[in-house]
Amino acid sequence: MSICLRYTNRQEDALEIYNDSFLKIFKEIHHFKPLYADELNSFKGWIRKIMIYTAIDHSRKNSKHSFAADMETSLVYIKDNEEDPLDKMSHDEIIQAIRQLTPACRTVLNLYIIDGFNHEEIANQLDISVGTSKSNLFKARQQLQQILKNNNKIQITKNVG
Amino acid sequence: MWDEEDDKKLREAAGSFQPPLDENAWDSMEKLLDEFLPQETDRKRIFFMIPFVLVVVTILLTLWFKSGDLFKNNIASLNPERGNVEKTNNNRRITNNKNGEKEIAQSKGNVTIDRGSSLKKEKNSFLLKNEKIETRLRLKKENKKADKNISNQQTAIPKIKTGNNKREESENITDSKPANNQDFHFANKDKIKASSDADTSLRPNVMKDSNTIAFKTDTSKTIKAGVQKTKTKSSNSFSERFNIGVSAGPGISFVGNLNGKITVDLGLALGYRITKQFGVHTGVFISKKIYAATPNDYYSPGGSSYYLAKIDGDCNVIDIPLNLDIYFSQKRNHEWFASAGLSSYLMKKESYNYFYKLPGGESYVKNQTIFNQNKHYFSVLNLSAGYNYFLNNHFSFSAQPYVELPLTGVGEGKVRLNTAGILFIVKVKPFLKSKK
Repeated sequence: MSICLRYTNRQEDALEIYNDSFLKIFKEIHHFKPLYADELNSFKGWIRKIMIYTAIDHSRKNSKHSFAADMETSLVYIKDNEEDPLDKMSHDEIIQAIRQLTPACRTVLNLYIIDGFNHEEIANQLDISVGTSKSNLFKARQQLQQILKNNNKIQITKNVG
Repeated sequence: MWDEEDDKKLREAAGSFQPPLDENAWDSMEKLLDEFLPQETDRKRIFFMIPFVLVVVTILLTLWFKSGDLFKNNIASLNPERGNVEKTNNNRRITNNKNGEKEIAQSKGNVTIDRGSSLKKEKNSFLLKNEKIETRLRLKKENKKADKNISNQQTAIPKIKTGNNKREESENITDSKPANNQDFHFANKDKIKASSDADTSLRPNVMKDSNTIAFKTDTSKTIKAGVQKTKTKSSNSFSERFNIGVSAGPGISFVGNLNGKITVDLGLALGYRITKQFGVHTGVFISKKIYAATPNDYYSPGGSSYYLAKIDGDCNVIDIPLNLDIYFSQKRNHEWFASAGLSSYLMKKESYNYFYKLPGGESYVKNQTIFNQNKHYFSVLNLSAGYNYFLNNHFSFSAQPYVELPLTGVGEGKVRLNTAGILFIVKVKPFLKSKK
Protein backbone atom coordinates (compact mmCIF):
# COMPACT_ATOMS: atom_id res chain seq x y z
CA MET A 1 0.00 0.00 0.00
CA SER A 2 2.90 2.36 0.67
CA ILE A 3 4.04 1.97 -2.93
CA CYS A 4 0.57 2.86 -4.21
CA LEU A 5 0.30 5.86 -1.90
CA ARG A 6 3.57 7.27 -3.25
CA TYR A 7 2.28 7.32 -6.81
CA THR A 8 -0.95 9.15 -6.14
CA ASN A 9 -2.16 11.87 -3.86
CA ARG A 10 -5.63 10.41 -3.37
CA GLN A 11 -6.43 7.61 -0.97
CA GLU A 12 -9.14 6.20 -3.26
CA ASP A 13 -6.77 6.02 -6.22
CA ALA A 14 -4.14 4.31 -4.10
CA LEU A 15 -6.70 1.71 -2.99
CA GLU A 16 -7.77 1.15 -6.57
CA ILE A 17 -4.17 0.65 -7.68
CA TYR A 18 -3.61 -1.71 -4.76
CA ASN A 19 -6.66 -3.85 -5.55
CA ASP A 20 -5.94 -3.95 -9.26
CA SER A 21 -2.38 -5.00 -8.54
CA PHE A 22 -3.42 -7.88 -6.36
CA LEU A 23 -6.02 -8.99 -8.87
CA LYS A 24 -3.21 -9.24 -11.43
CA ILE A 25 -1.06 -11.07 -8.93
CA PHE A 26 -3.79 -13.65 -8.21
CA LYS A 27 -4.40 -14.15 -11.90
CA GLU A 28 -0.77 -14.51 -12.86
CA ILE A 29 0.67 -16.17 -9.80
CA HIS A 30 0.98 -19.51 -11.57
CA HIS A 31 3.33 -17.81 -14.05
CA PHE A 32 5.70 -16.63 -11.34
CA LYS A 33 9.14 -18.21 -11.41
CA PRO A 34 11.73 -17.04 -8.90
CA LEU A 35 14.83 -15.67 -10.57
CA TYR A 36 16.95 -15.95 -7.44
CA ALA A 37 17.58 -18.57 -4.82
CA ASP A 38 15.85 -16.38 -2.24
CA GLU A 39 12.30 -17.08 -3.34
CA LEU A 40 10.67 -14.81 -0.79
CA ASN A 41 12.55 -11.69 -1.83
CA SER A 42 12.19 -12.65 -5.46
CA PHE A 43 8.43 -12.88 -4.94
CA LYS A 44 8.40 -9.52 -3.11
CA GLY A 45 10.24 -7.92 -5.99
CA TRP A 46 7.75 -9.39 -8.45
CA ILE A 47 4.83 -7.99 -6.48
CA ARG A 48 6.57 -4.63 -6.21
CA LYS A 49 7.03 -4.37 -9.97
CA ILE A 50 3.42 -5.28 -10.66
CA MET A 51 2.31 -2.52 -8.28
CA ILE A 52 4.57 0.05 -9.88
CA TYR A 53 3.40 -0.76 -13.39
CA THR A 54 -0.20 -0.76 -12.29
CA ALA A 55 0.33 2.64 -10.68
CA ILE A 56 1.83 3.99 -13.88
CA ASP A 57 -1.06 2.60 -15.93
CA HIS A 58 -3.50 4.16 -13.55
CA SER A 59 -1.80 7.52 -13.74
CA ARG A 60 -1.79 7.33 -17.51
CA LYS A 61 -5.51 6.59 -17.59
CA ASN A 62 -6.66 9.13 -15.05
CA SER A 63 -4.15 11.94 -15.33
CA LYS A 64 -5.24 14.82 -17.48
CA HIS A 65 -1.66 15.86 -18.02
CA SER A 66 0.90 13.84 -19.90
CA PHE A 67 4.19 12.98 -18.33
CA ALA A 68 5.94 15.09 -20.88
CA ALA A 69 4.29 18.32 -19.88
CA ASP A 70 4.28 19.64 -16.37
CA MET A 71 1.83 22.00 -14.74
CA GLU A 72 4.34 24.20 -13.10
CA THR A 73 6.86 25.49 -15.50
CA SER A 74 8.49 27.82 -13.06
CA LEU A 75 11.52 26.48 -11.30
CA VAL A 76 12.29 27.06 -7.70
CA TYR A 77 15.87 27.58 -6.75
CA ILE A 78 17.04 26.80 -3.24
CA LYS A 79 20.04 28.70 -1.93
CA ASP A 80 23.05 26.57 -1.08
CA ASN A 81 23.55 27.95 2.36
CA GLU A 82 20.06 27.04 3.52
CA GLU A 83 19.66 23.99 5.70
CA ASP A 84 18.43 20.81 4.10
CA PRO A 85 14.75 20.46 5.07
CA LEU A 86 14.94 16.67 4.66
CA ASP A 87 17.01 16.50 7.83
CA LYS A 88 14.26 17.94 9.93
CA MET A 89 11.30 16.06 8.55
CA SER A 90 10.01 12.66 9.58
CA HIS A 91 9.66 9.87 7.09
CA ASP A 92 5.92 10.21 6.95
CA GLU A 93 6.18 13.88 6.26
CA ILE A 94 8.63 13.26 3.43
CA ILE A 95 6.24 10.81 1.83
CA GLN A 96 3.37 13.24 2.25
CA ALA A 97 5.50 15.85 0.56
CA ILE A 98 6.21 13.48 -2.36
CA ARG A 99 2.46 13.01 -2.76
CA GLN A 100 2.05 16.76 -3.15
CA LEU A 101 4.22 16.82 -6.27
CA THR A 102 2.70 17.09 -9.69
CA PRO A 103 1.91 13.72 -11.31
CA ALA A 104 4.73 13.79 -13.86
CA CYS A 105 7.40 14.80 -11.33
CA ARG A 106 6.06 12.45 -8.70
CA THR A 107 6.16 9.46 -11.02
CA VAL A 108 9.68 10.12 -12.28
CA LEU A 109 11.00 10.78 -8.77
CA ASN A 110 9.47 7.56 -7.45
CA LEU A 111 10.74 5.52 -10.38
CA TYR A 112 14.27 6.91 -10.36
CA ILE A 113 15.14 7.57 -6.75
CA ILE A 114 13.04 5.10 -4.78
CA ASP A 115 12.37 2.24 -7.19
CA GLY A 116 15.73 2.28 -8.92
CA PHE A 117 14.81 2.60 -12.60
CA ASN A 118 17.21 4.39 -14.92
CA HIS A 119 16.16 7.11 -17.29
CA GLU A 120 16.00 4.83 -20.31
CA GLU A 121 13.62 2.47 -18.55
CA ILE A 122 11.56 5.39 -17.30
CA ALA A 123 11.36 6.84 -20.78
CA ASN A 124 10.23 3.48 -22.09
CA GLN A 125 7.60 3.04 -19.46
CA LEU A 126 6.16 6.54 -19.65
CA ASP A 127 6.55 6.89 -23.38
CA ILE A 128 8.70 10.00 -23.08
CA SER A 129 12.21 10.94 -24.05
CA VAL A 130 15.22 10.46 -21.79
CA GLY A 131 15.71 14.21 -21.66
CA THR A 132 12.16 14.75 -20.46
CA SER A 133 12.69 12.18 -17.78
CA LYS A 134 15.81 13.93 -16.54
CA SER A 135 14.10 17.28 -16.66
CA ASN A 136 11.14 16.04 -14.67
CA LEU A 137 13.45 14.54 -12.08
CA PHE A 138 15.25 17.82 -11.60
CA LYS A 139 11.96 19.64 -11.24
CA ALA A 140 10.72 17.02 -8.81
CA ARG A 141 13.69 17.52 -6.54
CA GLN A 142 13.31 21.27 -6.57
CA GLN A 143 9.61 21.09 -5.82
CA LEU A 144 10.14 18.62 -3.06
CA GLN A 145 12.72 20.81 -1.39
CA GLN A 146 10.37 23.79 -1.53
CA ILE A 147 7.46 21.82 -0.14
CA LEU A 148 9.55 20.47 2.66
CA LYS A 149 10.97 23.87 3.38
CA ASN A 150 7.51 25.39 3.54
CA ASN A 151 6.34 22.62 5.78
CA ASN A 152 9.34 23.11 8.00
CA LYS A 153 8.71 26.83 8.31
CA ILE A 154 5.11 26.14 9.30
CA GLN A 155 6.32 23.73 11.93
CA ILE A 156 8.80 26.22 13.32
CA THR A 157 6.18 28.91 13.56
CA LYS A 158 3.84 26.49 15.31
CA ASN A 159 6.50 25.55 17.81
CA VAL A 160 7.39 29.13 18.45
CA GLY A 161 3.83 30.19 18.77
CA MET B 1 21.82 21.42 -3.62
CA TRP B 2 20.36 17.95 -3.96
CA ASP B 3 22.82 15.15 -3.38
CA GLU B 4 23.06 11.42 -2.93
CA GLU B 5 22.30 11.73 0.77
CA ASP B 6 18.94 13.23 -0.04
CA ASP B 7 18.18 10.32 -2.35
CA LYS B 8 19.13 7.97 0.43
CA LYS B 9 16.81 9.75 2.84
CA LEU B 10 13.98 9.47 0.38
CA ARG B 11 14.60 5.75 0.04
CA GLU B 12 14.68 5.32 3.81
CA ALA B 13 11.46 7.25 4.13
CA ALA B 14 9.79 5.12 1.49
CA GLY B 15 11.07 1.91 3.08
CA SER B 16 9.84 2.73 6.54
CA PHE B 17 6.54 4.27 5.52
CA GLN B 18 3.67 2.12 6.83
CA PRO B 19 0.24 3.49 6.03
CA PRO B 20 -2.57 2.86 8.54
CA LEU B 21 -4.72 -0.24 7.97
CA ASP B 22 -7.99 0.42 6.22
CA GLU B 23 -10.41 -2.27 7.38
CA ASN B 24 -12.90 -1.55 4.61
CA ALA B 25 -10.28 -2.02 1.93
CA TRP B 26 -10.91 -5.75 1.72
CA ASP B 27 -14.57 -5.28 0.73
CA SER B 28 -13.70 -3.72 -2.61
CA MET B 29 -11.01 -6.36 -3.17
CA GLU B 30 -13.54 -9.09 -2.49
CA LYS B 31 -15.91 -7.65 -5.07
CA LEU B 32 -13.16 -7.61 -7.64
CA LEU B 33 -12.23 -11.20 -6.88
CA ASP B 34 -15.84 -12.38 -7.08
CA GLU B 35 -16.17 -10.65 -10.43
CA PHE B 36 -12.93 -11.69 -12.09
CA LEU B 37 -11.90 -14.80 -10.21
CA PRO B 38 -15.09 -16.64 -9.23
CA GLN B 39 -14.50 -19.76 -7.17
CA GLU B 40 -14.87 -22.97 -9.08
CA THR B 41 -16.94 -25.75 -7.62
CA ASP B 42 -14.99 -28.54 -6.16
CA ARG B 43 -15.59 -31.16 -8.77
CA LYS B 44 -13.56 -33.75 -6.95
CA ARG B 45 -16.12 -33.77 -4.17
CA ILE B 46 -18.90 -34.38 -6.71
CA PHE B 47 -17.03 -37.27 -8.29
CA PHE B 48 -16.44 -38.74 -4.87
CA MET B 49 -20.12 -38.45 -4.05
CA ILE B 50 -21.31 -40.30 -7.17
CA PRO B 51 -20.43 -43.86 -6.02
CA PHE B 52 -21.85 -43.18 -2.59
CA VAL B 53 -25.11 -41.96 -4.08
CA LEU B 54 -25.19 -44.98 -6.39
CA VAL B 55 -24.82 -47.29 -3.40
CA VAL B 56 -27.66 -45.58 -1.56
CA VAL B 57 -29.89 -45.64 -4.65
CA THR B 58 -29.10 -49.34 -5.22
CA ILE B 59 -30.04 -50.16 -1.64
CA LEU B 60 -33.29 -48.24 -1.94
CA LEU B 61 -34.17 -49.96 -5.22
CA THR B 62 -33.39 -53.36 -3.71
CA LEU B 63 -35.66 -52.54 -0.83
CA TRP B 64 -38.41 -51.45 -3.19
CA PHE B 65 -38.19 -54.60 -5.26
CA LYS B 66 -38.12 -56.74 -2.16
CA SER B 67 -41.29 -55.17 -0.91
CA GLY B 68 -42.83 -56.09 -4.26
CA ASP B 69 -41.67 -59.70 -3.89
CA LEU B 70 -43.06 -59.79 -0.38
CA PHE B 71 -46.42 -58.81 -1.73
CA LYS B 72 -46.22 -61.47 -4.42
CA ASN B 73 -45.49 -64.07 -1.78
CA ASN B 74 -48.59 -63.04 0.10
CA ILE B 75 -50.61 -63.38 -3.08
CA ALA B 76 -49.10 -66.80 -3.65
CA SER B 77 -50.39 -67.83 -0.25
CA LEU B 78 -53.84 -67.57 -1.73
CA ASN B 79 -52.89 -70.04 -4.46
CA PRO B 80 -54.35 -73.37 -3.53
CA GLU B 81 -51.42 -75.22 -5.03
CA ARG B 82 -48.82 -73.65 -2.90
CA GLY B 83 -50.61 -71.66 -0.28
CA ASN B 84 -51.01 -71.88 3.42
CA VAL B 85 -52.03 -75.46 3.25
CA GLU B 86 -48.63 -76.62 2.16
CA LYS B 87 -46.92 -74.48 4.67
CA THR B 88 -49.05 -75.20 7.66
CA ASN B 89 -49.76 -78.87 7.23
CA ASN B 90 -47.08 -81.30 8.07
CA ASN B 91 -49.00 -84.50 7.54
CA ARG B 92 -49.78 -83.88 3.92
CA ARG B 93 -50.18 -86.66 1.39
CA ILE B 94 -50.75 -86.02 -2.28
CA THR B 95 -52.16 -88.85 -4.35
CA ASN B 96 -53.68 -89.13 -7.80
CA ASN B 97 -57.10 -90.60 -8.03
CA LYS B 98 -58.66 -92.41 -11.02
CA ASN B 99 -59.50 -89.25 -12.82
CA GLY B 100 -56.07 -87.81 -12.49
CA GLU B 101 -57.07 -85.37 -9.87
CA LYS B 102 -54.86 -84.59 -7.04
CA GLU B 103 -56.16 -85.62 -3.71
CA ILE B 104 -54.54 -84.04 -0.79
CA ALA B 105 -55.10 -85.82 2.47
CA GLN B 106 -54.78 -83.83 5.57
CA SER B 107 -54.97 -84.87 9.16
CA LYS B 108 -55.42 -81.34 10.25
CA GLY B 109 -56.16 -78.72 7.78
CA ASN B 110 -57.69 -75.39 7.75
CA VAL B 111 -58.33 -75.03 4.06
CA THR B 112 -59.66 -77.29 1.39
CA ILE B 113 -58.06 -76.99 -1.96
CA ASP B 114 -60.28 -76.20 -4.80
CA ARG B 115 -59.10 -75.33 -8.21
CA GLY B 116 -62.30 -73.58 -8.89
CA SER B 117 -62.46 -71.24 -11.80
CA SER B 118 -63.60 -68.39 -9.62
CA LEU B 119 -60.55 -68.59 -7.39
CA LYS B 120 -58.26 -68.87 -10.35
CA LYS B 121 -59.71 -65.72 -11.74
CA GLU B 122 -59.00 -63.99 -8.48
CA LYS B 123 -55.48 -65.24 -8.43
CA ASN B 124 -54.80 -64.20 -11.98
CA SER B 125 -56.20 -60.80 -11.41
CA PHE B 126 -54.07 -60.37 -8.33
CA LEU B 127 -50.92 -61.44 -10.03
CA LEU B 128 -51.56 -59.33 -13.06
CA LYS B 129 -52.29 -56.12 -11.28
CA ASN B 130 -50.10 -56.64 -8.26
CA GLU B 131 -51.46 -53.72 -6.30
CA LYS B 132 -52.36 -54.13 -2.68
CA ILE B 133 -55.25 -51.70 -2.59
CA GLU B 134 -57.05 -53.19 -5.57
CA THR B 135 -56.41 -56.67 -4.26
CA ARG B 136 -57.94 -55.87 -0.94
CA LEU B 137 -61.01 -54.43 -2.62
CA ARG B 138 -61.40 -57.51 -4.76
CA LEU B 139 -60.95 -59.77 -1.81
CA LYS B 140 -63.58 -57.91 0.06
CA LYS B 141 -65.93 -58.31 -2.86
CA GLU B 142 -65.24 -62.02 -3.02
CA ASN B 143 -65.95 -62.34 0.64
CA LYS B 144 -69.26 -60.66 0.16
CA LYS B 145 -70.10 -62.98 -2.73
CA ALA B 146 -69.16 -65.99 -0.70
CA ASP B 147 -71.41 -64.88 2.08
CA LYS B 148 -74.23 -64.39 -0.41
CA ASN B 149 -73.69 -67.84 -1.92
CA ILE B 150 -73.87 -69.39 1.47
CA SER B 151 -77.17 -67.77 2.15
CA ASN B 152 -78.60 -68.54 -1.34
CA GLN B 153 -77.31 -72.13 -1.56
CA GLN B 154 -79.66 -74.54 -3.42
CA THR B 155 -80.29 -78.08 -2.35
CA ALA B 156 -79.78 -79.74 -5.75
CA ILE B 157 -76.34 -81.21 -6.01
CA PRO B 158 -74.90 -82.68 -9.21
CA LYS B 159 -73.10 -85.94 -9.31
CA ILE B 160 -69.57 -85.77 -8.16
CA LYS B 161 -67.29 -88.52 -9.22
CA THR B 162 -65.44 -89.64 -6.24
CA GLY B 163 -63.78 -92.75 -5.11
CA ASN B 164 -65.02 -92.30 -1.68
CA ASN B 165 -68.23 -94.07 -0.71
CA LYS B 166 -68.76 -91.80 2.12
CA ARG B 167 -68.79 -88.85 -0.14
CA GLU B 168 -71.32 -90.49 -2.49
CA GLU B 169 -73.49 -91.13 0.40
CA SER B 170 -73.29 -87.62 1.48
CA GLU B 171 -74.41 -86.46 -1.95
CA ASN B 172 -77.86 -87.71 -1.25
CA ILE B 173 -78.39 -85.35 1.48
CA THR B 174 -80.71 -82.71 0.31
CA ASP B 175 -81.21 -80.65 3.35
CA SER B 176 -78.15 -78.64 3.84
CA LYS B 177 -77.10 -76.64 6.69
CA PRO B 178 -74.04 -74.58 6.96
CA ALA B 179 -71.34 -76.71 8.38
CA ASN B 180 -68.36 -75.39 10.12
CA ASN B 181 -64.89 -76.45 9.40
CA GLN B 182 -64.74 -78.98 12.14
CA ASP B 183 -67.83 -80.80 10.95
CA PHE B 184 -66.48 -80.95 7.45
CA HIS B 185 -63.13 -82.30 8.40
CA PHE B 186 -64.65 -84.73 10.83
CA ALA B 187 -66.86 -86.16 8.09
CA ASN B 188 -64.02 -86.48 5.64
CA LYS B 189 -61.16 -87.43 7.73
CA ASP B 190 -58.93 -89.21 5.30
CA LYS B 191 -59.45 -87.62 1.98
CA ILE B 192 -60.42 -84.31 0.61
CA LYS B 193 -60.98 -84.28 -3.07
CA ALA B 194 -59.83 -81.44 -5.19
CA SER B 195 -61.95 -80.87 -8.25
CA SER B 196 -60.49 -80.17 -11.63
CA ASP B 197 -61.47 -77.59 -14.16
CA ALA B 198 -61.34 -80.21 -16.90
CA ASP B 199 -64.09 -82.26 -15.40
CA THR B 200 -67.18 -80.19 -15.58
CA SER B 201 -69.11 -82.61 -13.47
CA LEU B 202 -67.01 -81.56 -10.61
CA ARG B 203 -68.27 -78.05 -10.50
CA PRO B 204 -66.58 -76.37 -7.64
CA ASN B 205 -69.34 -74.10 -6.65
CA VAL B 206 -71.98 -76.81 -6.55
CA MET B 207 -70.89 -79.57 -4.32
CA LYS B 208 -72.45 -81.06 -1.34
CA ASP B 209 -73.85 -78.33 0.73
CA SER B 210 -71.66 -78.89 3.66
CA ASN B 211 -68.58 -79.13 1.51
CA THR B 212 -69.51 -76.12 -0.46
CA ILE B 213 -70.34 -74.17 2.57
CA ALA B 214 -67.23 -75.26 4.32
CA PHE B 215 -65.20 -74.49 1.26
CA LYS B 216 -66.66 -71.08 0.86
CA THR B 217 -66.31 -70.29 4.47
CA ASP B 218 -62.77 -71.50 4.55
CA THR B 219 -61.88 -69.70 1.36
CA SER B 220 -63.29 -66.45 2.57
CA LYS B 221 -61.46 -66.87 5.82
CA THR B 222 -58.26 -67.65 3.99
CA ILE B 223 -58.70 -64.66 1.77
CA LYS B 224 -59.31 -62.51 4.78
CA ALA B 225 -56.38 -64.00 6.58
CA GLY B 226 -54.22 -63.42 3.55
CA VAL B 227 -55.26 -59.82 3.42
CA GLN B 228 -54.62 -59.37 7.09
CA LYS B 229 -51.25 -60.99 6.80
CA THR B 230 -50.29 -58.65 3.99
CA LYS B 231 -51.45 -55.73 6.03
CA THR B 232 -49.60 -56.63 9.18
CA LYS B 233 -46.40 -57.52 7.35
CA SER B 234 -46.14 -54.24 5.46
CA SER B 235 -47.03 -52.09 8.46
CA ASN B 236 -44.66 -53.94 10.74
CA SER B 237 -41.75 -53.67 8.35
CA PHE B 238 -41.44 -49.89 8.53
CA SER B 239 -42.24 -49.55 12.20
CA GLU B 240 -39.73 -52.23 13.10
CA ARG B 241 -36.99 -50.80 10.97
CA PHE B 242 -37.27 -47.10 11.65
CA ASN B 243 -35.86 -45.58 14.80
CA ILE B 244 -35.15 -42.18 16.30
CA GLY B 245 -32.35 -41.56 18.71
CA VAL B 246 -31.10 -38.88 21.03
CA SER B 247 -27.36 -38.70 21.47
CA ALA B 248 -24.77 -36.99 23.58
CA GLY B 249 -21.09 -37.51 24.10
CA PRO B 250 -17.68 -35.93 24.45
CA GLY B 251 -15.49 -35.07 21.51
CA ILE B 252 -12.20 -33.38 20.85
CA SER B 253 -11.06 -31.51 17.74
CA PHE B 254 -7.48 -31.02 16.67
CA VAL B 255 -5.39 -29.64 13.84
CA GLY B 256 -2.03 -31.22 13.20
CA ASN B 257 -0.26 -31.86 16.48
CA LEU B 258 -2.07 -29.21 18.48
CA ASN B 259 -4.87 -30.57 20.65
CA GLY B 260 -8.11 -28.77 21.27
CA LYS B 261 -10.55 -28.78 24.11
CA ILE B 262 -12.96 -31.55 24.94
CA THR B 263 -16.54 -30.51 24.28
CA VAL B 264 -19.94 -32.17 24.50
CA ASP B 265 -21.86 -32.89 21.31
CA LEU B 266 -25.64 -33.27 21.27
CA GLY B 267 -27.81 -34.56 18.52
CA LEU B 268 -30.85 -36.22 17.08
CA ALA B 269 -30.41 -39.31 14.91
CA LEU B 270 -32.75 -41.05 12.46
CA GLY B 271 -32.03 -44.62 11.47
CA TYR B 272 -33.54 -47.17 9.13
CA ARG B 273 -32.66 -50.83 9.07
CA ILE B 274 -32.75 -51.96 5.47
CA THR B 275 -31.89 -55.59 6.09
CA LYS B 276 -30.56 -57.51 9.02
CA GLN B 277 -27.03 -56.62 8.05
CA PHE B 278 -27.37 -53.13 6.61
CA GLY B 279 -28.90 -49.87 7.62
CA VAL B 280 -28.60 -46.16 7.05
CA HIS B 281 -28.68 -43.32 9.48
CA THR B 282 -28.61 -39.57 9.45
CA GLY B 283 -29.36 -36.79 11.90
CA VAL B 284 -28.48 -33.37 13.14
CA PHE B 285 -25.71 -32.90 15.67
CA ILE B 286 -24.71 -29.69 17.36
CA SER B 287 -21.06 -29.62 18.19
CA LYS B 288 -18.48 -27.14 19.35
CA LYS B 289 -15.03 -27.28 17.81
CA ILE B 290 -12.32 -25.66 19.92
CA TYR B 291 -8.86 -26.03 18.46
CA ALA B 292 -5.50 -24.36 17.92
CA ALA B 293 -3.63 -24.01 14.64
CA THR B 294 -0.26 -22.79 13.51
CA PRO B 295 0.04 -20.21 10.70
CA ASN B 296 1.15 -23.03 8.40
CA ASP B 297 -2.12 -24.87 9.00
CA TYR B 298 -4.28 -21.80 8.65
CA TYR B 299 -5.08 -20.25 5.32
CA SER B 300 -5.07 -16.45 5.22
CA PRO B 301 -6.09 -14.70 2.03
CA GLY B 302 -3.15 -12.60 0.93
CA GLY B 303 -0.81 -14.46 3.22
CA SER B 304 -0.42 -14.25 6.98
CA SER B 305 1.73 -11.77 8.85
CA TYR B 306 5.27 -12.76 9.68
CA TYR B 307 4.56 -12.12 13.34
CA LEU B 308 1.50 -14.37 13.56
CA ALA B 309 2.29 -17.08 16.05
CA LYS B 310 -0.90 -19.03 16.66
CA ILE B 311 -4.60 -19.08 15.89
CA ASP B 312 -7.24 -20.27 18.35
CA GLY B 313 -10.55 -21.32 16.84
CA ASP B 314 -13.91 -21.67 18.60
CA CYS B 315 -16.65 -22.76 16.22
CA ASN B 316 -20.29 -23.74 16.62
CA VAL B 317 -21.01 -26.34 13.99
CA ILE B 318 -24.09 -28.22 12.83
CA ASP B 319 -22.99 -31.67 11.72
CA ILE B 320 -25.31 -33.59 9.36
CA PRO B 321 -24.03 -37.09 8.66
CA LEU B 322 -25.25 -39.65 6.15
CA ASN B 323 -23.93 -43.08 7.03
CA LEU B 324 -24.18 -46.65 5.96
CA ASP B 325 -24.25 -49.13 8.84
CA ILE B 326 -23.12 -52.74 8.75
CA TYR B 327 -24.31 -55.02 11.56
CA PHE B 328 -22.59 -58.20 12.62
CA SER B 329 -22.34 -60.60 15.50
CA GLN B 330 -26.06 -60.23 16.10
CA LYS B 331 -27.44 -61.87 19.20
CA ARG B 332 -30.83 -61.82 20.83
CA ASN B 333 -30.35 -58.66 22.80
CA HIS B 334 -27.20 -57.08 21.46
CA GLU B 335 -25.14 -56.60 18.32
CA TRP B 336 -22.05 -54.89 16.99
CA PHE B 337 -21.90 -52.52 14.07
CA ALA B 338 -19.55 -50.46 11.93
CA SER B 339 -20.50 -47.31 10.11
CA ALA B 340 -19.03 -45.10 7.41
CA GLY B 341 -20.28 -42.07 5.57
CA LEU B 342 -19.97 -38.41 4.85
CA SER B 343 -20.86 -35.44 7.00
CA SER B 344 -21.77 -31.90 6.09
CA TYR B 345 -20.53 -29.09 8.34
CA LEU B 346 -22.56 -25.90 8.60
CA MET B 347 -20.44 -23.34 10.41
CA LYS B 348 -22.90 -21.26 12.39
CA LYS B 349 -20.39 -19.17 14.31
CA GLU B 350 -16.63 -19.01 13.95
CA SER B 351 -14.55 -17.06 16.40
CA TYR B 352 -10.80 -16.80 15.84
CA ASN B 353 -8.12 -15.25 18.04
CA TYR B 354 -4.93 -14.38 16.21
CA PHE B 355 -1.86 -14.19 18.47
CA TYR B 356 0.98 -12.00 17.20
CA LYS B 357 4.48 -11.83 18.66
CA LEU B 358 6.72 -8.88 17.80
CA PRO B 359 10.53 -9.04 17.72
CA GLY B 360 10.77 -6.86 20.81
CA GLY B 361 8.89 -9.47 22.84
CA GLU B 362 5.57 -7.67 22.74
CA SER B 363 2.47 -9.58 21.79
CA TYR B 364 -1.07 -8.72 20.91
CA VAL B 365 -4.28 -10.51 19.96
CA LYS B 366 -6.68 -9.82 17.18
CA ASN B 367 -10.18 -11.33 17.05
CA GLN B 368 -12.41 -12.21 14.13
CA THR B 369 -15.96 -13.54 14.37
CA ILE B 370 -17.88 -14.87 11.40
CA PHE B 371 -21.51 -15.95 11.29
CA ASN B 372 -23.18 -18.43 8.89
CA GLN B 373 -20.59 -18.08 6.21
CA ASN B 374 -18.82 -21.34 5.61
CA LYS B 375 -20.71 -24.47 4.60
CA HIS B 376 -18.99 -27.72 3.74
CA TYR B 377 -21.34 -30.24 2.17
CA PHE B 378 -20.28 -33.90 2.38
CA SER B 379 -16.76 -32.78 3.09
CA VAL B 380 -15.98 -34.80 6.18
CA LEU B 381 -15.46 -38.54 6.24
CA ASN B 382 -16.81 -40.13 9.36
CA LEU B 383 -15.99 -43.61 10.55
CA SER B 384 -17.35 -45.29 13.60
CA ALA B 385 -18.05 -48.60 15.23
CA GLY B 386 -20.23 -49.47 18.15
CA TYR B 387 -22.34 -51.69 20.28
CA ASN B 388 -26.15 -51.88 20.35
CA TYR B 389 -27.97 -53.23 23.35
CA PHE B 390 -31.71 -53.86 23.00
CA LEU B 391 -33.54 -53.02 26.17
CA ASN B 392 -36.81 -54.28 24.71
CA ASN B 393 -38.61 -54.22 21.38
CA HIS B 394 -38.87 -50.47 21.46
CA PHE B 395 -35.74 -49.15 23.11
CA SER B 396 -32.10 -49.74 22.51
CA PHE B 397 -28.93 -48.15 23.70
CA SER B 398 -25.75 -47.58 21.69
CA ALA B 399 -22.20 -46.60 22.43
CA GLN B 400 -20.43 -45.39 19.32
CA PRO B 401 -16.85 -44.16 19.21
CA TYR B 402 -16.15 -42.19 16.03
CA VAL B 403 -13.54 -40.35 14.04
CA GLU B 404 -14.18 -37.52 11.59
CA LEU B 405 -11.54 -36.75 8.98
CA PRO B 406 -11.83 -33.72 6.70
CA LEU B 407 -11.70 -34.15 2.94
CA THR B 408 -11.29 -30.40 2.43
CA GLY B 409 -10.34 -27.45 4.57
CA VAL B 410 -12.88 -26.48 7.23
CA GLY B 411 -13.90 -23.01 8.27
CA GLU B 412 -12.49 -19.62 7.44
CA GLY B 413 -8.92 -20.79 7.76
CA LYS B 414 -9.58 -23.97 5.76
CA VAL B 415 -7.87 -26.04 8.42
CA ARG B 416 -7.67 -29.82 8.39
CA LEU B 417 -9.89 -30.24 11.39
CA ASN B 418 -9.99 -33.76 12.80
CA THR B 419 -12.49 -34.82 15.43
CA ALA B 420 -12.69 -37.86 17.61
CA GLY B 421 -15.11 -38.79 20.33
CA ILE B 422 -17.80 -41.14 21.50
CA LEU B 423 -21.56 -40.88 21.26
CA PHE B 424 -24.09 -42.48 23.59
CA ILE B 425 -27.43 -42.90 21.86
CA VAL B 426 -30.82 -43.91 23.18
CA LYS B 427 -32.96 -45.16 20.30
CA VAL B 428 -36.68 -45.76 20.13
CA LYS B 429 -38.98 -47.21 17.48
CA PRO B 430 -41.78 -44.69 17.68
CA PHE B 431 -44.26 -46.36 15.34
CA LEU B 432 -43.95 -49.89 16.68
CA LYS B 433 -47.13 -51.01 18.42
CA SER B 434 -46.63 -52.95 21.57
CA LYS B 435 -47.94 -56.52 21.49
CA LYS B 436 -50.80 -57.22 23.84
